[in-house]
Amino acid sequence: MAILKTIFDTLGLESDRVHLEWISASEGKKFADTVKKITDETKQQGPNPLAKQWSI
Amino acid sequence: MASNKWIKLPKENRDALVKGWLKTLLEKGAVSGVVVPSTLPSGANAAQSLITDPAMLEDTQPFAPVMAVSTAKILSRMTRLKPMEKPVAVLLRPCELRATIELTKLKQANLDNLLLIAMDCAGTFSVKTYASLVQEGTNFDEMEEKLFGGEEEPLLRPVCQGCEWSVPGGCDITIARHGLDGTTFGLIAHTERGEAALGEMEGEAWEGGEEARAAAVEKWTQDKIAKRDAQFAELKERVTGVENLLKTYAACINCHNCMTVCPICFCKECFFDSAVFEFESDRFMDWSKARGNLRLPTDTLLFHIGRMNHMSTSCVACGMCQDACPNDIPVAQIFKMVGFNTQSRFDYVAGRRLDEPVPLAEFREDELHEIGGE
Ligand code: SF4
Ligand code: SF4
Ligand code: SF4
Repeated sequence: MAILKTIFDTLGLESDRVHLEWISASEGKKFADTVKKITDETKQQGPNPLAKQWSI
Repeated sequence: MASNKWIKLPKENRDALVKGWLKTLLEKGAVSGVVVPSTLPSGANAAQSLITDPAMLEDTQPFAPVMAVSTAKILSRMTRLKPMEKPVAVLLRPCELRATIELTKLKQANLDNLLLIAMDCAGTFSVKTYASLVQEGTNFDEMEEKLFGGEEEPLLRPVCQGCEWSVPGGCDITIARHGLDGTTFGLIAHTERGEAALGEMEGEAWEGGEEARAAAVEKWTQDKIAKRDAQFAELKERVTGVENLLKTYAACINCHNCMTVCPICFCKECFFDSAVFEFESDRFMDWSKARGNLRLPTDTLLFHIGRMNHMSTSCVACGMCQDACPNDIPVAQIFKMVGFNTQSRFDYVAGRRLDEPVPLAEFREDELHEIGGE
């Protein structure tokens, strides 16, 4: 993960679109909160500029 | 590093002296083979070869400034299934040495019985450029001296121009230029095995070599670091950001040459050539419909980012991938920049030391707290 984020940063891509969270099967609330957090952040970031590109 | 023996010899005879020394080692049975570049029939290329007949050392070119294939890849082929049974001497450039050390840590090569001889490196040319320089009758010894004197040579492979690891470390013997005035070259034994092999070579004791060399290496390295940083800055302008990246890789024909020649990419079957990347027709249609158009073959950029993710922590910045690219994409320079950053995260330098574990093989409990939440 650290590696992938570093690669994104180096290449000038948005590394804050990559997430990793360790959540065990018993941590239902943590899972829900995390997904919500990521969804909110992603909404704030707006659409991924790569999503519109056909030539990737 | 315990340095046991330092000698110096006339530089103008370097080729003959080194060949003669390797020949003696072979004749006396101190080594059973020598891996060294030999001149190929065209005369305009030199490739690594395994020599067992001492007479064949005549046609070798230990210092030809060309690296057709990384010796690390060759050593991996030769020693992965079974280590060498008897000593074999190997002549390497520093990036080849680092890749060999890296592959050993990744369990893809075995150093047993290898006598590693590495040289101070002023840089190499691509096979194409080397061939045309040979045709023009270039005096490579003169050129090398100019490079060691700090002159720039735009024809050198770009990674070499900014190579801050062009002084070997971790070998048995160094063939040295730094710390001398250019009329002599040095031979330094760092290990017992190296010292024994150097016993077969007579030369003047290199007094005060250690200090003179340390200062010269420091100056050379700082100079190279400055060039590397300038290259990184230029590259950042040119290739980073979504638009620049897509422009840079627009020339990519997905041939995977860059991966095939990379000494570090050792997987028998690349993940990107595997069944994971075989899809049914519907998938292509769906992807296309999502954007109205789909570049084919698919996943051009993903291949490069994937490769970076798999191996950039071990990239030795040897430049082989860039030499192999048919469309002159600065692959190695991009990998070097990415590798520099991913390796820095782990205070790691690929191939620097044998006893430094590769980042992904080791879990440190106290690392990288900022990633992955609490
Ligand atoms: S990358 Fe460095 S070590 Fe390798 S050939 Fe170029 S200058 Fe020499
Ligand atoms: S990615 Fe390129 S520069 Fe890095 S080790 Fe592989 S071939 Fe050498
Ligand atoms: S060698 Fe060049 S063209 Fe071929 S896959 Fe690599 S970057 Fe693309």
